[in-house]
Amino acid sequence: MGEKSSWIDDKWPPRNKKFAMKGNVYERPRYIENKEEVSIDPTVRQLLEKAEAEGIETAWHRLLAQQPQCGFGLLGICCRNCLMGPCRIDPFGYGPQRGVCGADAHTIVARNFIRMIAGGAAAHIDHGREIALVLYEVATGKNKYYKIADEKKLISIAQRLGVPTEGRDIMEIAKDVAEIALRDFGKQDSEPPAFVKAYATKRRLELWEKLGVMPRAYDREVTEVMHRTHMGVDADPLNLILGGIKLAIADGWGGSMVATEFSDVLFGTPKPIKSVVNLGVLKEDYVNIIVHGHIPLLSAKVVEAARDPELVKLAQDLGAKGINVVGMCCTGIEVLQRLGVPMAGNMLQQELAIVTGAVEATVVDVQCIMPALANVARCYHTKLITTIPIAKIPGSVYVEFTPDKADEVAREIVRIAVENFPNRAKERVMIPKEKMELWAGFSVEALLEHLGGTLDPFLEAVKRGDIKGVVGIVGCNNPKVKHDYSHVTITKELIKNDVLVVGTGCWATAAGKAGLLVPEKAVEMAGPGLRRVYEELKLPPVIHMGSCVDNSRILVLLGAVADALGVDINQLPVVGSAPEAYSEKAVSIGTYFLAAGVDVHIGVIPPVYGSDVVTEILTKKAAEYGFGRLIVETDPHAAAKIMMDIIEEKRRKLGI
Amino acid sequence: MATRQSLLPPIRPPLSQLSFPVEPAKPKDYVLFYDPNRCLGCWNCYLACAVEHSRSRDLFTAIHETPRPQPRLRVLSIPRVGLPYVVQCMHCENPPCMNVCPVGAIYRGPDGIVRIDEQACIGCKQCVRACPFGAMLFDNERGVALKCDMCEDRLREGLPPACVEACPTGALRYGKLEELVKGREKEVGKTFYEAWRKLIEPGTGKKKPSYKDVVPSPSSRWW
Repeated sequence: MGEKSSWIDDKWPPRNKKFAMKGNVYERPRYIENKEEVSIDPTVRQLLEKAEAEGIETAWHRLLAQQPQCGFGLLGICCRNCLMGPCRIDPFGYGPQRGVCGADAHTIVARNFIRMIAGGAAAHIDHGREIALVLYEVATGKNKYYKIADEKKLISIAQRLGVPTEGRDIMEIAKDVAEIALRDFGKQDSEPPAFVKAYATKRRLELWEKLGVMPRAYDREVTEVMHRTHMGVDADPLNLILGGIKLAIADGWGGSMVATEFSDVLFGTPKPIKSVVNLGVLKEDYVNIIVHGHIPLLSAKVVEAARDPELVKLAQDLGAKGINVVGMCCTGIEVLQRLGVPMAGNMLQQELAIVTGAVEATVVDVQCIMPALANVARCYHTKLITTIPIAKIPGSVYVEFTPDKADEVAREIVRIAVENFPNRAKERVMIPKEKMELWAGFSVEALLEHLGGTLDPFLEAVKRGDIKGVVGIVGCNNPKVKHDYSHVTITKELIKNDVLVVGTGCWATAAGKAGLLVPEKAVEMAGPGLRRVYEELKLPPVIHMGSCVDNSRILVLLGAVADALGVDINQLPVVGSAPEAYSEKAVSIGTYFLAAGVDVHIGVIPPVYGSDVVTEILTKKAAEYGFGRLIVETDPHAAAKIMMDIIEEKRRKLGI
Repeated sequence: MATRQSLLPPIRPPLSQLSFPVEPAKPKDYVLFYDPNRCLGCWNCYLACAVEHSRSRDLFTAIHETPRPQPRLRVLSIPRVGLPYVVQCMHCENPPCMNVCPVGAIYRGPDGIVRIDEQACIGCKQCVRACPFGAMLFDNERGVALKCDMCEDRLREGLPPACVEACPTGALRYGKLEELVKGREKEVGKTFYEAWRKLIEPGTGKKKPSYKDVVPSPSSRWW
C-alpha cells in the first residue's frame, strides 16, 4: 500500500500508542515524538525541534491536542445553523435521526457542504472585487499608485467581452472592462455574468443552462447559498448541491477569473521566471520581510517599497546589508511569478518561518493566515503587521492599507520592519540551509508563446501518447497528512507514467521545494514520453501555473484544449487533485472543477460520509449529469493509480 | 446495622470461570472513572465505543456495517435540569448482575473487569433488571446481555479504553483511583469553606455552626 501518508493516527478513535494517553492520568501528548514523519521537508523537522525547545506550539501540536476530533463533525452530521440546536444525527441508527427542525443526515451534510463552498467562494469573489475596483480607479484616473502594466492582456480581455478596442484610448477600454466586471458582482437580472459567458466553453454553458446551475451575479449566489442553507429553506440534498455548484461556477469563471485576469493587467502577465524556494531564502544579515496572504495589491507595493533607496540606506545604517522580501502562500506566488521574489514556504511553514528568529516583519492581508502567528511572533522580535480592516489579529500591529494610499503605507510598513532589525536576537537565529531553484510563471499566454503560438504541438503530443493526459494538482497543506508527501508522491508517480502535471498554490511550492519545478530534474524522473516532449518542445513535465485564484488559468487552458479537440471538457483525459486540502476555498475550487467536468481527487476525508445520499451524489451521480466526480483517497500511490486509470479510460473513449 | 452489602447474597463462584480463564488485562487498582462535572454531553464516548466494537474499527466504514455496531454506554440527561451524564458499567466488586445470573455467565476477573461469557448467557435479562445503574444492556440481535468490557484489547495494547481516549474534556478517565481524584479535595474543601464563611458571617448572630451544616447529607450526594 506504500508509506503511510499520515503522521498521526488515521484511525478514529486513535489506536496508535504514540498518541494515546501517557501513563495513567488524563494527559495528552504535548510533544511530537516522530518529527521525521511529520514532513518530507527537512526544514520542518529542524524548526519543530527548535520550536519545542523554546516552548512554542505550532499547528501540528495543536492538531495533536485536538485528537480525537469530534466524530459527528468528521462525518458532517452536526448542525449548528439555528438556536434550536445544536443537533447531531446518530450515525449508528439508535439515537436521533433528525434534528429538531426535522432535517435528516442528508440535508444536514448537504447544507454544511455548500456553506463551505460559500465561505470559499466569498473569499475568491472579494479578492476579485478588490482588484476590479482598483482597475476601475486606475482607468478613471483616480488612483495613481497602480498602472496598467499589460495593455495586450487588457485588449484581449476586452475582445473576449465584446468591448470595441479599435482606435480607443487604453484607459477608456479599461474603464469599460472594469465596469462590466463590477456589474457582474451585484447585478439583479437573470442573465449569466459577462465573464462566465465569455470564458466558459459553449458546451459547458449549454450544460449548465440545461441543469439550471447557471449563476446570475457573484454576490447574489453567495447570498442565495447562505439563504437556502438557513433552517427551513432547502432540504433536498441534490438541490442543495446543485446550488453549491452554481456558486462554485460563479467563483471559478467569475470571482477568481476576474482576480487573475485583472491582476495580469495591473501587474503584468506572468512569463517563465526563475527563483528560489524554501526557508533558506531568509538571509541572516538582511532585514527579512515576509509577505503572506493573497492579494497582490499589498505585496507588490511592499516589494516596490523595499527597493526604495532611502529605506535601503536606513537598513544599512542599522547594520543590515539590505532588505530581503520573501513571499509565503498565494501572495508570495503572485510576486514570485511576476517579479521573481523568492518563496519562503507554503501554508504550514508560516509559523516555522518566524521560529527561525530572522524575520523582522510578517506582513499579511487576508486568507490562510493563522491567528497563531501573533503568538509565535510574540516570542521573537518579529512584528506581525495586519493591514486589512476585516482581517485583524489580536497581538498584531495594525497598519491600514488602502489602495488610495498604497505607496505611503507600504513604505511605512517596510520602515517598521527595518527599524525592527536591531531588536533581532542573533543567538536565537537558525535559518535552515535548504533552498531550491524553481521555474514559475507559466500563464496560459506564456505556455502558448512557448509552444509557438498555438496548442497544436501539445495536442499532437497528447494524440501520439507522449503526453497521456494532464493532471492539475492544487491546494493547500493539511497537518492531518504528512506535509508535502502526498503532493510530491503523486506528482512523481504521474510524471513517471507520462502524465503532464500542472498546478497552483501550495502544491506548487511543495513541488518546487522537492526540485520538481527545475525542468532538468523533473525530466530525469519523468517517463519516456514526457522526456521526448521536453526535448522537442521544451515543455517541462511539471508546470507552475500560479496562485489559487490562478486555477482559473487552468480552466481557460481546459476550455481551449476542449474547443481545439472539438469535445466537451468532461471527455478530456484530465483529472484534478487536491491531495492535502484544508480550506473552504479548496472545497469551492474542487467544486468548480467538478462543474467543469473534471474528476477531482481529494486526499483528506471531506465531512460528507454521514450521508450516503450526498456521498453518492458527489462520488458517482455527478458524473452522470456531465460534471466530474469526487474521488476520496488518502493514500497517494493509490490515488495516482486511480488518476491514471481515469486518464486511460478517457483516452480510450476519445479513441486516441 | 444492616448495610446493603450484608443483605446481598454472598459472592457465588461463577460456573463458567473454569471454561473461560482470562489473562489479566489491566492492573487490579486501575479503574474507569467518570467525572460528571466535566461532562459536556457531546456523545463522543458513545461514538468511540460503537466504533471500537465494530468489525472494521474505522469510523467511516463502521457506520455502514451489518450487524450494526452496538455501543455499551448510554448518554442521558437529568430530567428538567438538562445536565448530561453517562451511564456505564461500574465493574462492581460485588456485582449484582453476577449474583443474579442463573447460569453464572457473568464473572469478575482477577483484573477487576466484570465479563460476560456470551456462550453461557441464556438471555434471561435478569442482570439487566438487577443492575442498579442501568448499565447492563441487552443485544436483541444476538440474544445476549451486553455491557462495557473496558475495551480489553485496547488495554492489552497499553491503550486506555476508547471512551476515555475520545473524551475531549477528561470527564472519563482511566487510571489509579487515588491519582485520578487527586486535587478534588481542594475543590471540595473550597466549597465547604465558602459555605462555612456564609454561615459565620459577622453580625448574623447565628449559633456556632457544626460540620453538619456544610457537609451535604448522603442522600443529596450524587454519583
